[in-house]
Amino acid sequence: MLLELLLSLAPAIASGAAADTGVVYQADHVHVAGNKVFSPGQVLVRDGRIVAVGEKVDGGQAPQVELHGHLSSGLIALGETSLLGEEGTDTTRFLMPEVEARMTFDPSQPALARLAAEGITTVVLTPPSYNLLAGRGLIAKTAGGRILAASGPMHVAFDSGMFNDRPDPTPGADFGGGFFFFGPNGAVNPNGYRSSYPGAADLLEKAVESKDSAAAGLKDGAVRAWLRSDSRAESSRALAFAQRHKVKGTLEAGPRIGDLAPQIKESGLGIAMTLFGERNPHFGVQSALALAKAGVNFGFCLDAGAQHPVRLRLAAALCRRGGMEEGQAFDTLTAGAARAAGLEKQVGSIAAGLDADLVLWSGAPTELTSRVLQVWVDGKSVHQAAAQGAKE
Amino acid sequence: MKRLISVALFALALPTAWAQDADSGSVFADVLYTSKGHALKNVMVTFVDGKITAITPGATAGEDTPRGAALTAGMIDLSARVTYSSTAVEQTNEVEASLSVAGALDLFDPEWLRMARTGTTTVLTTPPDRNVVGGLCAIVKTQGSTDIAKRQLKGRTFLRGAMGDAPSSGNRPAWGSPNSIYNRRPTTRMGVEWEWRKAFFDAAAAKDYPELEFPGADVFRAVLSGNVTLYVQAFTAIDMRTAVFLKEEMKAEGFGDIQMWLDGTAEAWKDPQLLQRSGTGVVLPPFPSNGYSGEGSFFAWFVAKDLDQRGIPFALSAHGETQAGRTLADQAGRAMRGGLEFEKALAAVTLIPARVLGLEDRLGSVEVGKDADLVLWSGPPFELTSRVLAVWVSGETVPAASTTPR
Repeated sequence: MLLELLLSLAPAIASGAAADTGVVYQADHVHVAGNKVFSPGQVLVRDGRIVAVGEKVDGGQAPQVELHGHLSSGLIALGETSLLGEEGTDTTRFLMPEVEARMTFDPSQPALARLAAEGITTVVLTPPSYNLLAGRGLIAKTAGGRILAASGPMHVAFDSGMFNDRPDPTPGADFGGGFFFFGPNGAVNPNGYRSSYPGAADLLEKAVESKDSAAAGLKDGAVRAWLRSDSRAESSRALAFAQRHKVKGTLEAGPRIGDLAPQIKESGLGIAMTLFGERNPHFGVQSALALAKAGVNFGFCLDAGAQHPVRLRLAAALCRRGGMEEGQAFDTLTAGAARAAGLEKQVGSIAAGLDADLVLWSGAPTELTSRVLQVWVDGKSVHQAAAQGAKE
Repeated sequence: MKRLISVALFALALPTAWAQDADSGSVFADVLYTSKGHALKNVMVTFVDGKITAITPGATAGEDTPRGAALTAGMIDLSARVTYSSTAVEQTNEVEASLSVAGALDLFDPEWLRMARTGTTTVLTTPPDRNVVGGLCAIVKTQGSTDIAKRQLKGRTFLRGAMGDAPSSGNRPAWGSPNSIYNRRPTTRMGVEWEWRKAFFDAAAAKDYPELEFPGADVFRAVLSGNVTLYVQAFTAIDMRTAVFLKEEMKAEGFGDIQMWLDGTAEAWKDPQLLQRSGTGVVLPPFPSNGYSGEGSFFAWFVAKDLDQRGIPFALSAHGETQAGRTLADQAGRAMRGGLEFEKALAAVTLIPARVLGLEDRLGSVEVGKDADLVLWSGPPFELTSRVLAVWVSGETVPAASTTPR
């Protein structure tokens, strides 16, 4: 009992603010989640957590800070591969359910600060897709380097990372030049790589059914899963796998995943949609609308190595243009994405008990013309546009 | 009796079912070719919940009833190579009998719709021929659920493999240090044949010598007991002979009587006595325009007629191709151009493949109680001037293709 008490006090002591009175942020608009907005509204933050939110909150001794603009919870980017990079997996092993990406995570890399500067405060980092089972991913804050869960979701590939049909790299190897003359890389094959969808799926079934494999934890949702797919055929195989083993977690899927919306709703999985942009967004927007209509929790993946982080909000803006109502579009960036990744009790909305990840915007967060003015992660101000030389 | 009752129930349900269900309706044709030798005039075919419930000759068409010159059963392609890629067959093992190609099919591929539009309603899909033994085949309708578990039909099981050049080409002899599957695999026809015989002998002997057991050996034993059909690609006469000799050898050894069908057997005409003697059926590859089919085999348009005259069971295949002039209907037309009668050509793309699949009770002919897989034609089926007007797969209309050229 005493130990528990000490443990619960530990973070407060560590931050050196045992007597933190907190602070009340008063903003013109406070976007709680979905369509719920207080205009004006107040948020009481203490010890890095949100304590209260409303039109008026009782802050006690807490000083009040006036903010001009729209205050929302920090945005969530799902399925970031580039931040782990090639170090995020090991291509000599095909089945590595035990490895953990947090061992290779660099919280000081500049890419994270760039995400924070665009209002993205939580990021789900996924290993590159070179393994059938690539181990545990990582969910981290973009500032301060805090990792949300000791172990992230377990990665299962249903995309082309599921097998290895890359050509033999041996110099002088003759492939005949034909389409079928691609085969498994001889060098890695002895380590158990398979060359086909059915072959890899068979291996996966055996791993999940094996008592000796950490992959057995996927069954009945004991360990959260991150199922990676691209085409609809791959997504539907992943869904069948999830339903067969009662897997809980997130399905990463391509822009046409909306065709499977009813099955996804039935499976209870969240969706991390591949980001779509200004080029040919039709299928992505239609899918987002279909998922929203079916009541599926979903957010967007962001590959910050290749994409500007504002692309995350661009996806939501395109959804708005396609006919999605504002609250739903906002949720794809925040609360919906949090639910899709199983993080709704920690981040994704302005609610008592959640992390104080806040963003002050010049306008509504779903409007592309809005700029980030200030960002807080775990209650600490981590980015100020004015301090960076931006004009108010 | 049971069928009569169910027909009566269907009739009662008709007025409501008609209006609501996507898989119910009716179609009128000047001639219905049943695939069982009957040509019925002015026929109305009615179907409810995906099954044919009534066939009424001498009827008159309602105003809204789809109407055409001829109606046939949906066609069946026993060698549809749709979503046929290197990732559909497990190449890390030369003999891979236990995996099914069902796990690799992309049911969202637009080719399925194209096949349906050209009149092919059911296909047998096979693992690609890059392995000696590639695995189990899947029987699927060309339209329906995108969930493979719901789409797959429960017919006979087929184990697919290949003789000849395909599983050995591209492989390298193991000079120096073997570092790739390409120099573990056979590089010649002889090596391919050795893999086949070794698999069968090991599977048979494993009953007494458990150390010979290997993954998939149970499938080979099911082949030897006749429960699984062995489906072997053999384009040339030497490969056809190798396959049939394998079957005969297994019988001579007392291992079992293999049910065998050969696929792509362009040179069946070179040794028809062998096929007659062994009771082996063949699926002919698409008719070429230059006389040559796969692996340099020679294949002329008279082959279908020749096989028919000798009483050798055969089916026609388009390998799932959907381009104009290369569809399954075009193959039937070419077989007719080679001398085959219309009814025989129709059977070779409907009734015979249905029998081979073990689904004769559901597919392959237009009869009450069977699946409403129907093709409506603008003129005599398989004629170059006729086109497919409409197709139903399990009673559901396939979205029509535009008839005007782009």
